[in-house]
Amino acid sequence: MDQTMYYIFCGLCLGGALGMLLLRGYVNSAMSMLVSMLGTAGLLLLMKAYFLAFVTVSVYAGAVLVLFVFVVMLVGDTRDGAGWIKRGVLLLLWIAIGAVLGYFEPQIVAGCAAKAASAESAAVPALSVAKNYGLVLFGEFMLPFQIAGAMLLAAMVGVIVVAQQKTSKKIRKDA
Amino acid sequence: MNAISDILVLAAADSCAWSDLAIDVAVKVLCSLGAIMLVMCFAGLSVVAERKVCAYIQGRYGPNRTAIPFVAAVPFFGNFLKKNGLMQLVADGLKFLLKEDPLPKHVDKFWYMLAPIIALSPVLVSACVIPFGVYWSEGQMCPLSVADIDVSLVFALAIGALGVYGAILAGWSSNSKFPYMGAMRASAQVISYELALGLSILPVVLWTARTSDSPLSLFEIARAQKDLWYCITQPLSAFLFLVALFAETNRLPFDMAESETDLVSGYHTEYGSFKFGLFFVGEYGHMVLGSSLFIVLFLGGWNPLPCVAYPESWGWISTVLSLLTFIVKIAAMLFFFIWVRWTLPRFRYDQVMRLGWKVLLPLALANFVAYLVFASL
Repeated sequence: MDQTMYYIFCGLCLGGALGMLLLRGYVNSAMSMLVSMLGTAGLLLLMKAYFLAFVTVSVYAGAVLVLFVFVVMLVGDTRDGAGWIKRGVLLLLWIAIGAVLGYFEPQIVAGCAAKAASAESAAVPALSVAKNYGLVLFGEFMLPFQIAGAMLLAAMVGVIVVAQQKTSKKIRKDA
Repeated sequence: MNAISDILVLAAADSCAWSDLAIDVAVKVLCSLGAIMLVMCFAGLSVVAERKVCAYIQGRYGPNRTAIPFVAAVPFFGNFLKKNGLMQLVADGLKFLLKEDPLPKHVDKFWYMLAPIIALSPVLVSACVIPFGVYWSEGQMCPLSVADIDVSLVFALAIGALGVYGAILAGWSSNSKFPYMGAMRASAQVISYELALGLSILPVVLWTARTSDSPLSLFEIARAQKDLWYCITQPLSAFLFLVALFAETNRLPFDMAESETDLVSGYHTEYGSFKFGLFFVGEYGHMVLGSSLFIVLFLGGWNPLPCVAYPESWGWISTVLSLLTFIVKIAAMLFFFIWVRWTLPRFRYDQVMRLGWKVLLPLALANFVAYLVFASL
Protein backbone atom coordinates (compact mmCIF):
# COMPACT_ATOMS: atom_id res chain seq x y z
CA MET A 1 0.00 0.00 0.00
CA ASP A 2 2.70 2.46 1.07
CA GLN A 3 4.84 1.45 -1.87
CA THR A 4 2.02 2.07 -4.34
CA MET A 5 1.30 5.44 -2.78
CA TYR A 6 5.00 6.26 -2.95
CA TYR A 7 5.13 5.60 -6.67
CA ILE A 8 1.92 7.56 -7.27
CA PHE A 9 3.27 10.59 -5.43
CA CYS A 10 6.65 10.29 -7.16
CA GLY A 11 4.82 10.20 -10.47
CA LEU A 12 2.88 13.34 -9.53
CA CYS A 13 6.12 15.09 -8.53
CA LEU A 14 8.08 14.22 -11.65
CA GLY A 15 5.15 14.50 -14.02
CA GLY A 16 4.29 17.92 -12.63
CA ALA A 17 7.89 19.07 -12.92
CA LEU A 18 8.14 17.85 -16.51
CA GLY A 19 4.79 19.39 -17.37
CA MET A 20 5.92 22.68 -15.89
CA LEU A 21 8.86 22.72 -18.31
CA LEU A 22 7.29 21.19 -21.38
CA LEU A 23 3.67 22.32 -21.53
CA ARG A 24 2.65 25.33 -23.58
CA GLY A 25 0.74 28.16 -21.91
CA TYR A 26 1.53 29.70 -18.58
CA VAL A 27 -1.53 28.44 -16.71
CA ASN A 28 -0.73 24.87 -17.75
CA SER A 29 2.79 25.34 -16.41
CA ALA A 30 1.59 26.85 -13.15
CA MET A 31 -0.91 24.05 -12.62
CA SER A 32 1.78 21.44 -13.33
CA MET A 33 3.83 23.11 -10.62
CA LEU A 34 0.82 22.77 -8.30
CA VAL A 35 0.62 19.05 -9.08
CA SER A 36 4.34 18.71 -8.37
CA MET A 37 3.94 20.49 -5.03
CA LEU A 38 1.01 18.31 -4.04
CA GLY A 39 3.11 15.28 -4.91
CA THR A 40 5.89 16.55 -2.66
CA ALA A 41 3.39 17.06 0.14
CA GLY A 42 2.19 13.51 -0.40
CA LEU A 43 5.74 12.17 -0.09
CA LEU A 44 6.16 14.10 3.15
CA LEU A 45 2.87 12.59 4.35
CA LEU A 46 4.24 9.11 3.68
CA MET A 47 7.20 10.01 5.90
CA LYS A 48 4.60 10.96 8.55
CA ALA A 49 5.89 14.54 8.47
CA TYR A 50 2.33 15.89 8.62
CA PHE A 51 3.19 19.41 9.68
CA LEU A 52 5.76 19.84 6.92
CA ALA A 53 3.35 18.44 4.33
CA PHE A 54 0.48 20.75 5.22
CA VAL A 55 2.73 23.78 5.55
CA THR A 56 4.05 23.00 2.07
CA VAL A 57 0.51 22.91 0.73
CA SER A 58 -0.51 26.02 2.65
CA VAL A 59 2.50 28.19 1.85
CA TYR A 60 3.58 27.04 -1.60
CA ALA A 61 0.37 25.75 -3.17
CA GLY A 62 -2.05 28.04 -1.32
CA ALA A 63 -0.16 31.33 -1.31
CA VAL A 64 3.02 31.47 -3.41
CA LEU A 65 1.56 29.77 -6.46
CA VAL A 66 -1.63 31.83 -6.30
CA LEU A 67 0.64 34.87 -6.36
CA PHE A 68 2.49 33.43 -9.39
CA VAL A 69 -0.75 32.84 -11.24
CA PHE A 70 -1.98 36.30 -10.29
CA VAL A 71 1.16 38.02 -11.62
CA VAL A 72 1.28 35.86 -14.71
CA MET A 73 -2.37 36.60 -15.49
CA LEU A 74 -1.80 40.30 -14.89
CA VAL A 75 1.21 40.44 -17.21
CA GLY A 76 -0.41 38.17 -19.77
CA ASP A 77 0.94 35.64 -22.21
CA THR A 78 3.49 37.51 -24.31
CA ARG A 79 4.39 34.38 -26.30
CA ASP A 80 7.79 35.63 -27.46
CA GLY A 81 10.39 32.88 -27.16
CA ALA A 82 13.92 33.47 -25.92
CA GLY A 83 16.55 34.63 -28.44
CA TRP A 84 19.15 32.19 -29.77
CA ILE A 85 21.92 33.58 -27.54
CA LYS A 86 19.80 33.00 -24.43
CA ARG A 87 18.87 29.54 -25.66
CA GLY A 88 22.49 28.67 -26.31
CA VAL A 89 23.55 29.86 -22.88
CA LEU A 90 20.74 27.91 -21.26
CA LEU A 91 21.74 24.79 -23.17
CA LEU A 92 25.36 25.21 -22.04
CA LEU A 93 24.19 25.66 -18.43
CA TRP A 94 22.09 22.51 -18.59
CA ILE A 95 25.01 20.56 -19.99
CA ALA A 96 27.27 21.92 -17.23
CA ILE A 97 24.75 20.96 -14.54
CA GLY A 98 24.43 17.52 -16.08
CA ALA A 99 28.19 17.11 -16.14
CA VAL A 100 28.57 18.17 -12.49
CA LEU A 101 25.76 15.85 -11.40
CA GLY A 102 27.16 13.02 -13.49
CA TYR A 103 30.56 13.45 -11.86
CA PHE A 104 29.31 13.66 -8.28
CA GLU A 105 26.13 11.61 -8.56
CA PRO A 106 27.43 8.23 -7.35
CA GLN A 107 28.76 9.76 -4.15
CA ILE A 108 25.65 11.88 -3.57
CA VAL A 109 23.25 8.98 -4.02
CA ALA A 110 25.34 6.60 -1.91
CA GLY A 111 25.75 9.19 0.85
CA CYS A 112 22.05 10.03 0.94
CA ALA A 113 20.99 6.39 0.94
CA ALA A 114 23.35 5.54 3.79
CA LYS A 115 22.18 8.56 5.76
CA ALA A 116 18.52 7.75 5.17
CA ALA A 117 19.02 4.12 6.15
CA SER A 118 20.68 5.07 9.42
CA ALA A 119 18.28 7.89 10.22
CA GLU A 120 15.00 6.19 9.33
CA SER A 121 14.25 4.40 12.57
CA ALA A 122 15.01 7.40 14.78
CA ALA A 123 13.58 10.16 12.61
CA VAL A 124 10.04 8.96 11.88
CA PRO A 125 8.43 9.52 15.31
CA ALA A 126 10.28 12.83 15.64
CA LEU A 127 9.00 13.99 12.25
CA SER A 128 5.35 13.45 13.09
CA VAL A 129 5.29 15.85 16.06
CA ALA A 130 4.77 19.46 15.07
CA LYS A 131 6.53 20.76 18.17
CA ASN A 132 9.90 19.33 17.09
CA TYR A 133 10.02 21.58 14.04
CA GLY A 134 9.79 24.68 16.21
CA LEU A 135 12.44 23.38 18.59
CA VAL A 136 14.86 22.55 15.79
CA LEU A 137 14.15 25.67 13.78
CA PHE A 138 14.63 28.03 16.71
CA GLY A 139 17.40 26.00 18.33
CA GLU A 140 19.82 24.12 16.14
CA PHE A 141 19.13 25.99 12.90
CA MET A 142 18.56 29.45 14.34
CA LEU A 143 21.41 31.11 12.42
CA PRO A 144 20.56 29.76 8.93
CA PHE A 145 16.91 30.58 9.60
CA GLN A 146 17.75 34.19 10.49
CA ILE A 147 20.11 34.55 7.52
CA ALA A 148 17.42 33.25 5.17
CA GLY A 149 14.96 35.72 6.68
CA ALA A 150 17.39 38.61 6.24
CA MET A 151 18.05 37.62 2.62
CA LEU A 152 14.32 37.48 1.88
CA LEU A 153 13.88 40.90 3.47
CA ALA A 154 16.72 42.30 1.36
CA ALA A 155 15.17 40.79 -1.77
CA MET A 156 11.79 42.27 -0.90
CA VAL A 157 13.26 45.75 -0.34
CA GLY A 158 15.13 45.40 -3.62
CA VAL A 159 11.97 44.49 -5.48
CA ILE A 160 10.13 47.44 -4.00
CA VAL A 161 12.96 49.81 -4.98
CA VAL A 162 13.08 48.47 -8.54
CA ALA A 163 9.31 48.59 -8.98
CA GLN A 164 9.13 52.05 -7.44
CA GLN A 165 11.70 53.48 -9.84
CA LYS A 166 9.81 52.24 -12.85
CA THR A 167 6.49 53.68 -11.80
CA SER A 168 7.92 57.05 -10.74
CA LYS A 169 9.71 57.38 -14.13
CA LYS A 170 6.49 56.52 -15.88
CA ILE A 171 4.60 59.14 -13.92
CA ARG A 172 7.25 61.74 -14.79
CA LYS A 173 6.97 60.82 -18.44
CA ASP A 174 3.21 61.13 -18.30
CA ALA A 175 3.44 64.56 -16.65
CA MET B 1 -17.25 7.74 14.31
CA ASN B 2 -13.98 6.26 15.49
CA ALA B 3 -15.97 4.44 18.15
CA ILE B 4 -17.81 2.52 15.48
CA SER B 5 -14.55 1.62 13.79
CA ASP B 6 -13.11 0.44 17.13
CA ILE B 7 -16.07 -1.87 17.72
CA LEU B 8 -15.99 -3.24 14.20
CA VAL B 9 -12.26 -3.80 14.32
CA LEU B 10 -12.63 -5.64 17.64
CA ALA B 11 -15.39 -7.80 16.17
CA ALA B 12 -13.17 -8.67 13.23
CA ALA B 13 -10.07 -9.36 15.33
CA ASP B 14 -10.36 -13.13 14.85
CA SER B 15 -10.76 -13.16 11.11
CA CYS B 16 -7.93 -12.87 8.64
CA ALA B 17 -6.00 -9.75 7.69
CA TRP B 18 -7.64 -8.86 4.40
CA SER B 19 -11.10 -8.68 5.94
CA ASP B 20 -9.64 -6.43 8.63
CA LEU B 21 -8.36 -4.16 5.94
CA ALA B 22 -11.67 -4.28 4.07
CA ILE B 23 -13.63 -3.40 7.21
CA ASP B 24 -11.18 -0.64 8.05
CA VAL B 25 -11.53 0.85 4.59
CA ALA B 26 -15.32 0.46 4.62
CA VAL B 27 -15.60 2.22 7.99
CA LYS B 28 -13.37 5.05 6.80
CA VAL B 29 -15.46 5.44 3.66
CA LEU B 30 -18.68 5.47 5.73
CA CYS B 31 -17.26 8.07 8.13
CA SER B 32 -16.14 10.25 5.21
CA LEU B 33 -19.58 9.93 3.63
CA GLY B 34 -21.12 11.00 6.93
CA ALA B 35 -18.94 14.10 7.12
CA ILE B 36 -19.60 14.93 3.46
CA MET B 37 -23.32 14.47 3.98
CA LEU B 38 -23.28 16.80 6.95
CA VAL B 39 -21.51 19.51 4.96
CA MET B 40 -23.66 18.98 1.85
CA CYS B 41 -26.93 18.98 3.83
CA PHE B 42 -25.96 22.24 5.45
CA ALA B 43 -24.84 23.69 2.11
CA GLY B 44 -28.20 22.76 0.58
CA LEU B 45 -30.27 23.96 3.50
CA SER B 46 -28.36 27.23 3.67
CA VAL B 47 -29.37 27.95 0.07
CA VAL B 48 -33.02 27.72 1.10
CA ALA B 49 -32.27 29.61 4.31
CA GLU B 50 -30.53 32.33 2.32
CA ARG B 51 -33.65 32.91 0.22
CA LYS B 52 -36.02 32.71 3.16
CA VAL B 53 -33.98 34.97 5.45
CA CYS B 54 -33.32 37.53 2.73
CA ALA B 55 -37.05 37.55 1.97
CA TYR B 56 -37.80 38.08 5.67
CA ILE B 57 -35.26 40.93 5.88
CA GLN B 58 -36.76 42.56 2.80
CA GLY B 59 -40.36 42.06 3.92
CA ARG B 60 -41.23 39.36 1.38
CA TYR B 61 -42.34 35.74 1.69
CA GLY B 62 -39.57 34.06 -0.27
CA PRO B 63 -40.06 30.75 -2.09
CA ASN B 64 -43.44 29.30 -1.02
CA ARG B 65 -44.98 27.77 -4.13
CA THR B 66 -42.85 24.70 -4.78
CA ALA B 67 -44.39 21.73 -2.97
CA ILE B 68 -45.11 18.05 -3.36
CA PRO B 69 -48.58 17.66 -4.94
CA PHE B 70 -51.47 17.19 -2.49
CA VAL B 71 -49.22 17.74 0.55
CA ALA B 72 -51.55 20.55 1.62
CA ALA B 73 -54.16 17.88 2.43
CA VAL B 74 -52.14 16.70 5.44
CA PRO B 75 -54.09 17.71 8.58
CA PHE B 76 -52.66 20.48 10.83
CA PHE B 77 -49.26 20.77 9.11
CA GLY B 78 -50.53 20.88 5.52
CA ASN B 79 -50.23 24.62 5.07
CA PHE B 80 -46.75 24.70 6.59
CA LEU B 81 -45.55 21.78 4.48
CA LYS B 82 -46.84 23.47 1.36
CA LYS B 83 -45.36 26.88 2.02
CA ASN B 84 -42.05 26.27 3.82
CA GLY B 85 -40.12 26.35 0.55
CA LEU B 86 -37.96 23.32 1.34
CA MET B 87 -38.97 21.69 -1.93
CA GLN B 88 -37.40 24.64 -3.73
CA LEU B 89 -34.06 23.02 -2.94
CA VAL B 90 -35.09 19.81 -4.68
CA ALA B 91 -36.48 21.75 -7.61
CA ASP B 92 -33.27 23.77 -7.99
CA GLY B 93 -31.15 20.63 -7.82
CA LEU B 94 -33.28 18.89 -10.44
CA LYS B 95 -33.08 21.96 -12.65
CA PHE B 96 -29.27 21.91 -12.46
CA LEU B 97 -29.26 18.23 -13.36
CA LEU B 98 -31.78 18.29 -16.18
CA LYS B 99 -30.84 21.50 -17.98
CA GLU B 100 -28.72 21.36 -21.09
CA ASP B 101 -25.04 21.56 -20.21
CA PRO B 102 -23.60 24.24 -22.49
CA LEU B 103 -19.94 24.12 -23.54
CA PRO B 104 -19.00 27.46 -25.15
CA LYS B 105 -16.72 27.24 -28.17
CA HIS B 106 -14.15 29.78 -26.98
CA VAL B 107 -13.19 28.10 -23.69
CA ASP B 108 -10.14 26.04 -22.77
CA LYS B 109 -12.04 22.79 -22.39
CA PHE B 110 -9.78 20.87 -20.00
CA TRP B 111 -9.55 23.53 -17.31
CA TYR B 112 -13.14 24.66 -17.95
CA MET B 113 -14.39 21.17 -17.07
CA LEU B 114 -11.99 20.74 -14.17
CA ALA B 115 -12.56 24.09 -12.44
CA PRO B 116 -15.95 23.30 -10.79
CA ILE B 117 -14.51 20.08 -9.35
CA ILE B 118 -11.46 21.92 -7.99
CA ALA B 119 -13.80 24.47 -6.43
CA LEU B 120 -15.86 21.87 -4.55
CA SER B 121 -13.51 19.06 -3.60
CA PRO B 122 -11.16 20.90 -1.16
CA VAL B 123 -14.18 21.86 0.94
CA LEU B 124 -15.25 18.25 1.27
CA VAL B 125 -11.72 17.04 1.96
CA SER B 126 -11.03 19.50 4.74
CA ALA B 127 -14.32 18.57 6.42
CA CYS B 128 -12.64 15.35 7.54
CA VAL B 129 -10.63 16.98 10.33
CA ILE B 130 -13.44 19.03 11.92
CA PRO B 131 -14.29 17.55 15.35
CA PHE B 132 -18.09 17.62 15.19
CA GLY B 133 -18.43 16.22 18.70
CA VAL B 134 -16.80 14.04 21.33
CA TYR B 135 -17.03 10.50 22.61
CA TRP B 136 -15.26 8.66 25.39
CA SER B 137 -13.26 5.55 24.82
CA GLU B 138 -11.70 3.92 27.92
CA GLY B 139 -11.86 7.18 29.84
CA GLN B 140 -10.15 9.10 27.05
CA MET B 141 -11.91 11.99 25.34
CA CYS B 142 -11.83 11.49 21.57
CA PRO B 143 -13.04 13.70 18.72
CA LEU B 144 -15.97 12.72 16.52
CA SER B 145 -14.03 13.37 13.31
CA VAL B 146 -12.95 11.26 10.36
CA ALA B 147 -9.23 11.89 10.91
CA ASP B 148 -7.64 12.95 14.17
CA ILE B 149 -4.21 14.39 13.34
CA ASP B 150 -2.18 16.67 15.57
CA VAL B 151 -1.94 19.45 12.96
CA SER B 152 -5.57 19.44 11.84
CA LEU B 153 -5.76 23.25 11.99
CA VAL B 154 -2.97 23.59 9.42
CA PHE B 155 -4.61 20.85 7.35
CA ALA B 156 -7.99 22.63 7.27
CA LEU B 157 -6.41 25.96 6.32
CA ALA B 158 -4.07 24.45 3.72
CA ILE B 159 -6.70 22.40 1.91
CA GLY B 160 -9.31 25.14 2.23
CA ALA B 161 -6.93 27.57 0.52
CA LEU B 162 -6.76 25.33 -2.55
CA GLY B 163 -10.39 26.15 -3.34
CA VAL B 164 -9.35 29.45 -4.90
CA TYR B 165 -7.86 27.57 -7.85
CA GLY B 166 -11.41 26.74 -8.88
CA ALA B 167 -12.20 30.43 -9.25
CA ILE B 168 -8.88 31.26 -10.93
CA LEU B 169 -9.10 28.42 -13.44
CA ALA B 170 -12.76 29.08 -14.18
CA GLY B 171 -11.99 32.73 -14.85
CA TRP B 172 -8.99 32.01 -17.01
CA SER B 173 -10.38 29.11 -19.02
CA SER B 174 -13.61 30.95 -19.79
CA ASN B 175 -11.56 33.18 -22.09
CA SER B 176 -13.87 36.09 -21.55
CA LYS B 177 -13.55 39.50 -19.95
CA PHE B 178 -15.72 39.43 -16.84
CA PRO B 179 -14.79 35.94 -15.60
CA TYR B 180 -11.13 36.91 -16.04
CA MET B 181 -11.55 40.00 -13.89
CA GLY B 182 -13.47 38.00 -11.31
CA ALA B 183 -10.66 35.47 -11.12
CA MET B 184 -8.03 38.21 -10.72
CA ARG B 185 -10.00 39.74 -7.90
CA ALA B 186 -10.53 36.38 -6.23
CA SER B 187 -6.82 35.55 -6.22
CA ALA B 188 -5.80 39.01 -5.00
CA GLN B 189 -8.38 38.85 -2.24
CA VAL B 190 -7.33 35.41 -1.07
CA ILE B 191 -3.64 36.39 -0.94
CA SER B 192 -4.44 39.54 1.00
CA TYR B 193 -6.73 38.03 3.60
CA GLU B 194 -4.97 34.73 4.16
CA LEU B 195 -2.22 36.53 6.09
CA ALA B 196 -4.68 38.18 8.44
CA LEU B 197 -6.54 34.89 8.79
CA GLY B 198 -3.41 32.99 9.76
CA LEU B 199 -2.13 35.67 12.11
CA SER B 200 -5.46 35.98 13.91
CA ILE B 201 -5.37 32.26 14.76
CA LEU B 202 -1.87 32.32 16.26
CA PRO B 203 -2.96 33.79 19.65
CA VAL B 204 -5.45 30.93 19.96
CA VAL B 205 -2.70 28.40 19.31
CA LEU B 206 -0.49 30.21 21.80
CA TRP B 207 -3.25 30.08 24.41
CA THR B 208 -3.92 26.40 23.84
CA ALA B 209 -0.20 25.60 24.04
CA ARG B 210 -0.25 26.47 27.75
CA THR B 211 -2.50 23.51 28.57
CA SER B 212 -2.04 21.10 25.70
CA ASP B 213 0.87 19.37 24.04
CA SER B 214 -0.38 19.63 20.44
CA PRO B 215 -1.93 23.09 20.12
CA LEU B 216 -2.31 22.87 16.34
CA SER B 217 -5.01 20.23 16.71
CA LEU B 218 -8.59 21.48 16.33
CA PHE B 219 -9.70 18.92 18.89
CA GLU B 220 -7.25 20.19 21.52
CA ILE B 221 -8.22 23.80 20.78
CA ALA B 222 -11.93 23.07 21.28
CA ARG B 223 -11.15 20.97 24.34
CA ALA B 224 -9.20 23.83 25.94
CA GLN B 225 -12.38 25.95 25.83
CA LYS B 226 -14.39 23.99 28.37
CA ASP B 227 -14.34 26.99 30.73
CA LEU B 228 -14.07 30.29 28.90
CA TRP B 229 -14.51 30.37 25.13
CA TYR B 230 -11.83 32.11 23.12
CA CYS B 231 -14.32 34.63 21.76
CA ILE B 232 -14.54 35.93 25.35
CA THR B 233 -10.83 35.86 26.18
CA GLN B 234 -9.69 36.97 22.71
CA PRO B 235 -12.46 39.10 21.17
CA LEU B 236 -10.12 40.91 18.76
CA SER B 237 -8.71 37.66 17.35
CA ALA B 238 -12.24 36.37 16.88
CA PHE B 239 -13.35 39.53 15.10
CA LEU B 240 -10.31 39.58 12.80
CA PHE B 241 -10.79 35.90 11.97
CA LEU B 242 -14.45 36.48 11.23
CA VAL B 243 -13.76 39.39 8.87
CA ALA B 244 -11.02 37.44 7.09
CA LEU B 245 -13.37 34.46 6.88
CA PHE B 246 -16.01 36.55 5.14
CA ALA B 247 -13.34 37.61 2.65
CA GLU B 248 -12.04 34.06 2.17
CA THR B 249 -15.50 32.66 1.52
CA ASN B 250 -16.26 35.47 -0.94
CA ARG B 251 -19.36 36.48 0.96
CA LEU B 252 -20.81 39.93 0.86
CA PRO B 253 -19.52 42.55 1.89
CA PHE B 254 -16.40 41.07 0.23
CA ASP B 255 -18.17 39.63 -2.79
CA MET B 256 -15.43 40.74 -5.21
CA ALA B 257 -15.09 37.61 -7.31
CA GLU B 258 -18.67 37.65 -8.56
CA SER B 259 -19.97 41.10 -7.82
CA GLU B 260 -23.10 41.09 -9.93
CA THR B 261 -23.26 44.87 -10.27
CA ASP B 262 -20.02 45.22 -12.20
CA LEU B 263 -18.95 41.72 -13.34
CA VAL B 264 -22.22 40.09 -14.54
CA SER B 265 -21.62 37.10 -12.24
CA GLY B 266 -17.85 36.98 -12.03
CA TYR B 267 -15.79 33.88 -12.61
CA HIS B 268 -18.73 31.59 -13.36
CA THR B 269 -20.40 33.82 -15.94
CA GLU B 270 -19.75 31.27 -18.70
CA TYR B 271 -20.99 28.30 -16.68
CA GLY B 272 -24.42 26.78 -16.70
CA SER B 273 -26.37 23.80 -15.46
CA PHE B 274 -24.60 21.36 -13.14
CA LYS B 275 -21.15 22.94 -13.47
CA PHE B 276 -22.57 26.15 -12.08
CA GLY B 277 -24.33 24.04 -9.47
CA LEU B 278 -20.95 22.70 -8.29
CA PHE B 279 -19.61 26.24 -7.88
CA PHE B 280 -22.76 27.17 -6.01
CA VAL B 281 -22.56 24.21 -3.63
CA GLY B 282 -18.82 24.79 -3.22
CA GLU B 283 -19.42 28.36 -2.10
CA TYR B 284 -21.96 27.32 0.51
CA GLY B 285 -19.84 24.35 1.53
CA HIS B 286 -16.98 26.76 2.10
CA MET B 287 -19.30 28.77 4.33
CA VAL B 288 -20.23 25.68 6.34
CA LEU B 289 -16.58 24.76 6.73
CA GLY B 290 -15.61 28.30 7.71
CA SER B 291 -18.41 28.35 10.28
CA SER B 292 -17.21 25.04 11.73
CA LEU B 293 -13.67 26.41 11.97
CA PHE B 294 -14.90 29.55 13.71
CA ILE B 295 -16.96 27.47 16.11
CA VAL B 296 -14.04 25.20 16.95
CA LEU B 297 -11.58 28.05 17.32
CA PHE B 298 -13.66 30.65 19.12
CA LEU B 299 -17.14 29.41 20.04
CA GLY B 300 -16.17 26.49 22.24
CA GLY B 301 -16.67 23.70 19.73
CA TRP B 302 -19.20 21.17 21.04
CA ASN B 303 -19.52 22.79 24.51
CA PRO B 304 -23.04 24.13 25.03
CA LEU B 305 -22.23 27.21 27.13
CA PRO B 306 -19.11 28.81 28.60
CA CYS B 307 -18.14 26.94 31.78
CA VAL B 308 -20.67 24.18 30.95
CA ALA B 309 -19.53 20.91 29.39
CA TYR B 310 -21.30 17.61 28.82
CA PRO B 311 -20.15 15.16 31.53
CA GLU B 312 -18.40 11.93 30.66
CA SER B 313 -20.78 9.93 32.89
CA TRP B 314 -23.68 10.45 30.47
CA GLY B 315 -21.94 8.24 27.92
CA TRP B 316 -23.46 8.20 24.45
CA ILE B 317 -26.10 10.78 25.40
CA SER B 318 -23.26 13.27 25.81
CA THR B 319 -21.94 12.30 22.40
CA VAL B 320 -25.29 12.88 20.72
CA LEU B 321 -25.79 16.14 22.61
CA SER B 322 -22.32 17.38 21.64
CA LEU B 323 -23.00 16.63 17.99
CA LEU B 324 -26.39 18.39 18.18
CA THR B 325 -24.78 21.39 19.87
CA PHE B 326 -22.25 21.66 17.06
CA ILE B 327 -24.99 21.43 14.44
CA VAL B 328 -27.06 24.13 16.14
CA LYS B 329 -23.98 26.35 16.26
CA ILE B 330 -23.30 25.81 12.56
CA ALA B 331 -26.91 26.77 11.81
CA ALA B 332 -26.54 29.92 13.92
CA MET B 333 -23.30 30.86 12.17
CA LEU B 334 -24.89 30.35 8.75
CA PHE B 335 -27.77 32.56 9.80
CA PHE B 336 -25.21 35.18 10.84
CA PHE B 337 -23.49 34.92 7.43
CA ILE B 338 -26.80 35.45 5.66
CA TRP B 339 -27.84 38.24 8.01
CA VAL B 340 -24.60 40.15 7.32
CA ARG B 341 -24.97 39.61 3.58
CA TRP B 342 -28.39 41.23 3.44
CA THR B 343 -27.49 44.04 5.85
CA LEU B 344 -24.12 45.44 4.76
CA PRO B 345 -23.45 47.00 1.34
CA ARG B 346 -20.62 45.75 -0.86
CA PHE B 347 -17.12 47.21 -0.55
CA ARG B 348 -15.41 48.67 -3.56
CA TYR B 349 -12.36 46.70 -4.74
CA ASP B 350 -9.77 49.25 -3.58
CA GLN B 351 -11.53 49.46 -0.22
CA VAL B 352 -11.21 45.70 0.18
CA MET B 353 -7.50 45.85 -0.54
CA ARG B 354 -6.95 48.80 1.77
CA LEU B 355 -8.88 47.14 4.58
CA GLY B 356 -6.91 43.93 4.17
CA TRP B 357 -3.40 45.33 4.03
CA LYS B 358 -3.64 48.54 6.07
CA VAL B 359 -6.12 47.63 8.80
CA LEU B 360 -6.54 43.88 9.28
CA LEU B 361 -2.91 42.83 8.83
CA PRO B 362 -1.36 45.38 11.26
CA LEU B 363 -4.15 44.76 13.76
CA ALA B 364 -3.62 41.00 13.57
CA LEU B 365 0.14 41.44 14.01
CA ALA B 366 -0.29 43.78 16.97
CA ASN B 367 -2.83 41.40 18.49
CA PHE B 368 -0.43 38.49 18.15
CA VAL B 369 2.50 40.43 19.65
CA ALA B 370 0.29 41.59 22.52
CA TYR B 371 -0.70 38.02 23.36
CA LEU B 372 2.91 36.93 22.96
CA VAL B 373 4.00 39.49 25.54
CA PHE B 374 1.06 38.64 27.78
CA ALA B 375 1.72 34.91 27.61
CA SER B 376 5.42 35.26 28.35
CA LEU B 377 4.83 37.42 31.43
